[in-house]
Amino acid sequence: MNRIGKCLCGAVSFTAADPDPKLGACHCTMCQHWSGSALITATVKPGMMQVKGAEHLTHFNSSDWAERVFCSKCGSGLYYEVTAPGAHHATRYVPVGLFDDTDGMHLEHEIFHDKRLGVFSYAGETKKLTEAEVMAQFVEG
Amino acid sequence: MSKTGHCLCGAVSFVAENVSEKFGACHCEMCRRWTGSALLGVSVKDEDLTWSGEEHIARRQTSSWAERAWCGECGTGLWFKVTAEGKYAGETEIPLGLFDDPNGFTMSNEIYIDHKPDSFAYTGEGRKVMTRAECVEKFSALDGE
Repeated sequence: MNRIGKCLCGAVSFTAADPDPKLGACHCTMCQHWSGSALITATVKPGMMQVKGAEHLTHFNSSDWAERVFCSKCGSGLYYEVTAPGAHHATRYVPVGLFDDTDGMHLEHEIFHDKRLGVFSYAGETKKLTEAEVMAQFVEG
Repeated sequence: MSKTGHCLCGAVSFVAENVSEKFGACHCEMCRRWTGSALLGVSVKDEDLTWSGEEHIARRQTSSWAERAWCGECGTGLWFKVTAEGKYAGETEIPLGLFDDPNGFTMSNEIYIDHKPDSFAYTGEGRKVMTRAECVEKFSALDGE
């Protein structure tokens, strides 16, 4: 299923093919800062996202393995992309709030749960992974 | 209460005085797209904020009554500020995730609840929940005054 979305100001828009409706929230301190709370995203496979207005995007290398991309006109975060080689290379994690319609999507898992801001929590049963559990997965992957 | 905070990359930081111990969640479409979920904001008066790294701050007037600012280097949202004259002038919302010590805050309101996507929700009780219509009525002073 194709889903469309855009940033706050509309300078950047996109169509994502088959984003995973099982959303994940990341509570790492980088995502806390970038999103202001936690970063809730849908996973989009490599090459499955077409972007209009890409000339308005600013790319920020936030670690050795990923970049964070935002609209230079309004500051909306557009996606987190894995830049390191390996199984996750070029996978994009797209903030749920950008999508025009999130019907059928739901928060399925939370990672870096041991790092979360203690002053709010998400409703529902989610699979929760600690930082150590996440890092172990990526080393194996 | 005095608090410090910074953006993801550290190019911009702040010191805030008289920081509220309460924060609010806004689900309006602008906050939704800007933050990727909802704006969890802590209220601070403009005059109680001191920013460092001013040269890295980008800003945009996103409505006739308010502006939003972010770090031009990493994209971290820095503030939502009422620019319109009137009793809310200078009211600034700082995203919760920027604070070095985010403990001790309580969610006291959740607004535009009727615009919240079904895909996630916050737990908890005791906060004031308002629809868009209720917000428009409360903040109509922004347009009128």
